Amino acid sequence: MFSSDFLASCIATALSKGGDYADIFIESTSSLLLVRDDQKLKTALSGLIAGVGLRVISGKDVVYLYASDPTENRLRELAASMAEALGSRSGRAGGSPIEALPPSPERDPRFRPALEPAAIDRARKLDLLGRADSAMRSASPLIVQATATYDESRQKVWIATSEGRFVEDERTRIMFYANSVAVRDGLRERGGLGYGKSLGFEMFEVRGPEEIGKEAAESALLKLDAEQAPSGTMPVVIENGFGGVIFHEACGHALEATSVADDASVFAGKFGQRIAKECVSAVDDGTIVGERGSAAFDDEGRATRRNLLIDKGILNSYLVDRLGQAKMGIPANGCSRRESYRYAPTSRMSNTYILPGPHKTQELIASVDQGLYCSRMGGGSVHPSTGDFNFAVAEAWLIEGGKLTRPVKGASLIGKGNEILMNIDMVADDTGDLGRGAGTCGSSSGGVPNTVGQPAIRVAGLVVGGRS
Amino acid sequence: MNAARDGSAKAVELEELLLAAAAGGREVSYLEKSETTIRAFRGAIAEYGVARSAGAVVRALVGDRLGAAYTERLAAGSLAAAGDEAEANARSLDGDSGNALYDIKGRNRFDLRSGARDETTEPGKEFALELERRCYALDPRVKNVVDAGYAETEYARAVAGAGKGYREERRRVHLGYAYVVAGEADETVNGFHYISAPSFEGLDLDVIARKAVGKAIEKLGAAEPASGQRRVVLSADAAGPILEAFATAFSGELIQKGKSVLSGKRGQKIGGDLFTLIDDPLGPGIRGRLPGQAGGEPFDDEGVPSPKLHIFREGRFESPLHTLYSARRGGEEPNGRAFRRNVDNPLFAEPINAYVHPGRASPEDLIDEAGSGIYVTEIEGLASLNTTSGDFSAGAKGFEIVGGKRGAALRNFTIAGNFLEFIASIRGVADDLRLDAWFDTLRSPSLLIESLAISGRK
Repeated sequence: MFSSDFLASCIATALSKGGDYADIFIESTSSLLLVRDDQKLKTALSGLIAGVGLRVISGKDVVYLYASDPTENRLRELAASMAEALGSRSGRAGGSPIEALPPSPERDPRFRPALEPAAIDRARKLDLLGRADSAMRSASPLIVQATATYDESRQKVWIATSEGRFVEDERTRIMFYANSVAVRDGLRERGGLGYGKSLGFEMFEVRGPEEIGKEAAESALLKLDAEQAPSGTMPVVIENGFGGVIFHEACGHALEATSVADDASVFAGKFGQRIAKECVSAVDDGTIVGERGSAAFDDEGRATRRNLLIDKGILNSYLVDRLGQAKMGIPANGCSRRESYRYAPTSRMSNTYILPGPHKTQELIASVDQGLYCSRMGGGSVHPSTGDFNFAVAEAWLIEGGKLTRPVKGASLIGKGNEILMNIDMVADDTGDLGRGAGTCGSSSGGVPNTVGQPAIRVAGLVVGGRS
Repeated sequence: MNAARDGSAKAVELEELLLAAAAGGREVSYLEKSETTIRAFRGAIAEYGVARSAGAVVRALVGDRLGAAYTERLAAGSLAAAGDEAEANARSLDGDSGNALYDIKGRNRFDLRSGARDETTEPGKEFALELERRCYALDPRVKNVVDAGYAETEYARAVAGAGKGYREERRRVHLGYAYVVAGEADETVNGFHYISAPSFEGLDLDVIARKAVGKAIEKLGAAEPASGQRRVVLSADAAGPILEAFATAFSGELIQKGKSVLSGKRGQKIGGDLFTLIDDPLGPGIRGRLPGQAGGEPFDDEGVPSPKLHIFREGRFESPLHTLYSARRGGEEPNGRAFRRNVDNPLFAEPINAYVHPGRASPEDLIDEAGSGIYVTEIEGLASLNTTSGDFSAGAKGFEIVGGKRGAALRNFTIAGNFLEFIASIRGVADDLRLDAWFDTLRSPSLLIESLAISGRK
């Protein structure tokens, strides 16, 4: 691609009229999307996203320029435009440019896929879709539609910074989805499941398409028998798998420097203070080999880390990127991420989960007289500034007298993150497979891959937005 | 060099490049975005960005198998390689009689930009800084103006067909927005408002500031409502997002394949008499055509013309949104609603400039007509919305309606219902359709809904 000397010269140009820090992010991402729908192989879409982003931080301010189709000329133009943009600002002198960049560190072999998807025959990928389709359709004659999706990507990045980091990295990821529609007596319901890893084709040795398809079909079928979810405030037990979305939304986003540094988080100024009960410890860990949110390096070229966010209820760490470091005076901790070159990076979660506690999931359920057990969660969102969050319950059961009684559907859960965090009062001992909590999180630096696994938890009181 | 002339010279090159890549029976679709973004924070320009990205998707039909490939390298060789890849992709698929490429007729370029591009970077910075100042000045309870911003974006779309037909459209949108956090004692609330306009002068800074601050301050001191079925007035800010989130259910393909709550409902009267939902690319609002924007015939990302549609007419479900594929499968005329958000996304049917036909009442009239109930001003999160079953449940904020008047503020509650019941129970439609909302493909005035499930603290 580009030599490190050339990138160093562009950084020098970018900083020639001002700025404290500069980085360059060059990306070349090849992807393949295959869809089997309505008993036909319907979609095959492949291609290349390629571009470059150049960023300068000056004090607490940032300038970001990007362009697709990266060439040396385009990068030179961006660097010159950057100097011009910074030169028009008052005050600051130019930062100290680096002389040269070191060679990129060797990629940790643990982050290399064992079975590189690009080297796998197309027929084997299409076969996965057929197997998931069969699993869904054979689950019940009530399944009237089945859709299976295979989505692979290989993101190659070159990152160079004025702090002397130069990194070449590759991130290989696969997401596999199964979605089914069940119909009975005019009632129409759907069930879906996503499974994803930062692995190659070997991820299907852990969990095959039949298992994913069968679960998707069962989820749709269960809803045919489900009543409308109840309304009101009640204790809620949230199962593992995608259940970790509650921590992700209710707490995780508000620990990102993106909002904390601008005093736009309910957890700003709470470092070292109790924000949860002692049973809650939580980490964000981008180093877990194979998980969807993992990578060897973050998008500022730092090695990823395991950050202990909450230690026995005490706020122990924020997620801090380079701009957050400039604003907060806290060192960046390997969590700077972005969807693509079209976004400036910022502090983001990777694989975020509550650490296991002492209880069995069954104990959590047995402890609730009247409440809701959420066996499968959907997506959610949050306003970090107020803590107001919401998320969807994809599949749930009523808890009556400490036992699961009837399936219910159609609920969302809402609340304030800082209040709900204090209401988590029991944590189970099984984190489960984080790949079941794989998804894509959307925020200011775009949609980034992550996981939200966790052990089952009990929340003492949550507003359940049902209809009965 | 004159900016407009420079732009037209490039447009000719683009047309030639795409038509050359389409020769040999392929379709080439092109998307381009150029953007300047500015964010003020605490009296300084905290973020400044300039961006340009462009890419193309080539689709190839092999018999009745259709494959696609994209690239952001726009040299002729890269487009040809993408075409070969699209053909290889087609060969790996099953045939389907619905697959086709549209035979685009003639060559047309539509420029909907209002005049030559002005230099708005410096005025944009002043705008953002003044917007932030104005928000702070409006109320001492404003604690943090998290975002006060300005953006100028140019979008270009083009489609070149195998038969030398070509369509191109360029638009420019200016955006001003403010996100405000206000507080009193331990309570923290927020408010957001944006305006988009075809020119910089069309951004009313004062309106953005007053609405963003007003939407925050009015939430202070809110109580939590009791659970139960209640009559509800949805503000335009709340009604639009709910209906827009259901737009997926209008997809002809999903309806045909039994995946939509509207499957089997074509031609049936399932909504209230007052529910008329129109998708008109030449209709009112910044997503349609504004005075002075004559332009040409609107088209979608397959090059298919996009006529005005009545999705619902007085409660009757009339027109699904079609891609060429679903139109052919259903034996219908295509209606040009196939779009992709980016070159790496598949095509999907979606509205262009859809709106619920406004009534004559004001939102206050609807509140008066409701008598008692809940006035919902904001919806938070529609992740639980299910376009197959029609069920939805979402966090909400708003006010009690007492004696036909807006009463105390309410927080921490949800509204829930089913799409079919929702549109059947529309009892009133107000006159407050927004025209300045670029990011909303479907908008609605305020609506009076006979009954929705409210879930709250009690």
